[in-house]
Amino acid sequence: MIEIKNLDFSYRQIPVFHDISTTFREGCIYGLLGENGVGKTTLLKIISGLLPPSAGTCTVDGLCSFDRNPEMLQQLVFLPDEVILPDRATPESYVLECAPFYPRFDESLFRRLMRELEVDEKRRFKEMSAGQRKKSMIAAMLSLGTKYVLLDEPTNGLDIPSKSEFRRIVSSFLREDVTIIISTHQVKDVENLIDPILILSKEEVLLDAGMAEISQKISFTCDAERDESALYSEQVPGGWLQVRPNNSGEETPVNIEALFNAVLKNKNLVKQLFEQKGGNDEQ
Amino acid sequence: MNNSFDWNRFGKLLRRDFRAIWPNFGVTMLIITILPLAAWLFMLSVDVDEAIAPEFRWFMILGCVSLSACMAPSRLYKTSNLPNRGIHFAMLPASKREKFWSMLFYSVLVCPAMVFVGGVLFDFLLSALPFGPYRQWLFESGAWLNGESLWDVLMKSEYNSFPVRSLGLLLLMMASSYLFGASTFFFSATLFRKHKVLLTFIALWLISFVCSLFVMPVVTLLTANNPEILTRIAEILAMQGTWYGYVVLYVLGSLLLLWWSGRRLRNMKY
Repeated sequence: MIEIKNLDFSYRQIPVFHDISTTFREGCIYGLLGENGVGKTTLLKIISGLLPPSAGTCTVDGLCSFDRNPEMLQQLVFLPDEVILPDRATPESYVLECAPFYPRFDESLFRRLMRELEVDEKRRFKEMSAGQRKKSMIAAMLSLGTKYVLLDEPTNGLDIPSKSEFRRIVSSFLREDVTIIISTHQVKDVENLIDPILILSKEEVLLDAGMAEISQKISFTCDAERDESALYSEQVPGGWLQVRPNNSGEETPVNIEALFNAVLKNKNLVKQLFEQKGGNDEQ
Repeated sequence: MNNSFDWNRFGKLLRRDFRAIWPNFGVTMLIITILPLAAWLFMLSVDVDEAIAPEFRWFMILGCVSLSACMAPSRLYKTSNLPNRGIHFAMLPASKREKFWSMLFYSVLVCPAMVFVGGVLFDFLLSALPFGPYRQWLFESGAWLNGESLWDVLMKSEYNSFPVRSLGLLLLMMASSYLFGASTFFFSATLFRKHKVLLTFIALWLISFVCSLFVMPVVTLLTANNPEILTRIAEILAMQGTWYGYVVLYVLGSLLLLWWSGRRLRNMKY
């Protein structure tokens, strides 16, 4: 379990997080959403032990992440948005170089994933497009067999078929003891994949809830008329997509993009709505 | 699991880092190793019937070794302190201590040793040729066993009054100054992000320049009142004990730089 407690972080004088606390449990694919610059990548780096918190703690299975203990690193991989790799290396050489350090590395899984993502594992990184490099790295990260997989904007640079393939691979990869955290702007790419959702805003966590809780508390409907009292309205073909507090108790499918916009427009209201029952901790 | 140091894991790291030597530093190391060829070709081309003394060839080989020690940490681990490129290094499941020792092992010991062995073999190769300015085997003159002879070549006549006449002290001086130099470049590889070797040379030049700004007025002030003080200082500097003092200072300085490098690596942010 990844546990963040009363975490503060700032880049020199610029505060990024103030007193945030959250937990990432096994068996879930977390969606980490937020506007540009709110600290999604920073949070992933803190969890990976690449940045130290200014105050508070971040632990992975009880180990302080910034200590970068081998025990923790063996169980955690982080794929940054910008993948910079040695030009001469190939996906195969890269993963075989890392493999001895990961006891649950599965070479056959790596080769299968590379086939499914249609990338040649013997081709040099410098001869690949950005999308192919990203796909190679996704295959490599997943085949290392770690408990925690942190992906920063994993669908950036992927073509449409690759995005579908990515969703399929990630959902099939999920096991009871695995936690996947996906940070993204492209919410459509990870719709039906992520649950729970964590929305970050300036210095705070605005929403930290599972899909079931979200649909219990918020409704998403398509109406003919615009409702001025709705948390968020957006004109769509055939009417208005509206996000409202769910007063009827009838659950509706969650539209992540509309949810994201509704949360950003009504920060305090949404926080109050979800504070009534303590976020994903109580699932 | 031992999160501090595990020999099995360290062995894996050493194997991994060894495989990275050729792609990152191999060609440069090869070029450094054959640098004495330039002197050989020059002597051959000027058509002077003069041999290059084994003492000078030793000097060139040791120069190549020093050059490789200057470059090795920044070439082998150039991305280890870079915000994005260094993530792969930082997240490799080995402890910070293991990574530090592996870096030190290859940068200060293995790569320079490879250049040394390569340099000696290359010298043998050139000596075996029936023509050219290498007319003696490297070990033939006994320069390698004779501290005095090698010292004369290294320091030339103007320092001949210095009383380092024992091979033991000479080797100790060379080893400690090598360690200090290598540690300096090892430290700077953790400090600078780009142009690590060049910036180190510039920084060293700046430090010596700033030091001279402070030292020169003091010397001027002292000699104004007592002109004989310089002779006295020179006598103290020339004492055998002072040279042992240098050795101690070099070793302490090296330990400080290595400790500082380790601390920087431990607390590195990416």
